[in-house]
Amino acid sequence: MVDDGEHLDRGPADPGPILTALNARDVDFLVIGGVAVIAHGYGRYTQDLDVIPLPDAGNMARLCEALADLDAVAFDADKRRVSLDLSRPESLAIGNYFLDTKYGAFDLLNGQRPDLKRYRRLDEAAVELEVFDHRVRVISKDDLIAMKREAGRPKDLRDIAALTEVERNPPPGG
Amino acid sequence: MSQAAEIVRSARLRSRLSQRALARRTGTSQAAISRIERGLEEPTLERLEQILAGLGWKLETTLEPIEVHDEEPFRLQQNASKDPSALLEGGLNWLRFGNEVRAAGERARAKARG
Repeated sequence: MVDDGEHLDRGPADPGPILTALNARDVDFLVIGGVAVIAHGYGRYTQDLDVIPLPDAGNMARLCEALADLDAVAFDADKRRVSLDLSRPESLAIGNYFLDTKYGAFDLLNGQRPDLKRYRRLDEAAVELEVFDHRVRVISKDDLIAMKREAGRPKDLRDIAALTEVERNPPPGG
Repeated sequence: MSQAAEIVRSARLRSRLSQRALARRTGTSQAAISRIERGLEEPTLERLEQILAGLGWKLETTLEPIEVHDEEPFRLQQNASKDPSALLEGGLNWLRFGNEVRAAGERARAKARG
């Protein structure tokens, strides 16, 4: 289903309650994208929360419950609204979903297929942060750089440049 | 057009030489120069240097860091139709969240350093 031009009247964005909703449903996920860039020391601006959810059946079912709590709707790359079938959790583990929730943008970036092995590898190297009283796992800096190198858009290269700036120019005595 | 194609073509035109003349100088065929200039053939770095030397140019390759610029806000188009006061409040929420995430990252790095 494609629904062109639908405008959703949402309140102000607020990523904190998105984390609250995910944790309330015990959803396992790794934070990637701009928020991960900030976590690794580059204080740039972002307005969406990008995650990779743990692609197992139980977790995807819990994610669907959280998405229902968040009143999530999905858009395609052209910003057209597309269907989001929360009754089929397994479908959300394939491909990317650009979601609009009642608390703002929230994107699921799975890749082309559910890849439990890849998730485990990323999770093993991830760092755990405490953000607004929530424990949040953020992809490692090396994995983030690898992902951004693969994406290769100008903003990804700028993120890599910023993330590696200290490595290029260590502080005196560092 | 590939970068090598652009470099060879630009150097040849600036030297006011035909493809045929360049081919003679570099010991190759006019067809080979044409393929490179059309991006149909990617020369090795060594071969590119040989071709440019035949034109009196040298290739300098240096390591330059990619410049860092401020990130442009994502989803600007989506935001364009939203209420400005909600946008401002949402932006401030994101800034607060970003600051919290950055501080949490710093705490984690400090802990890892011991």
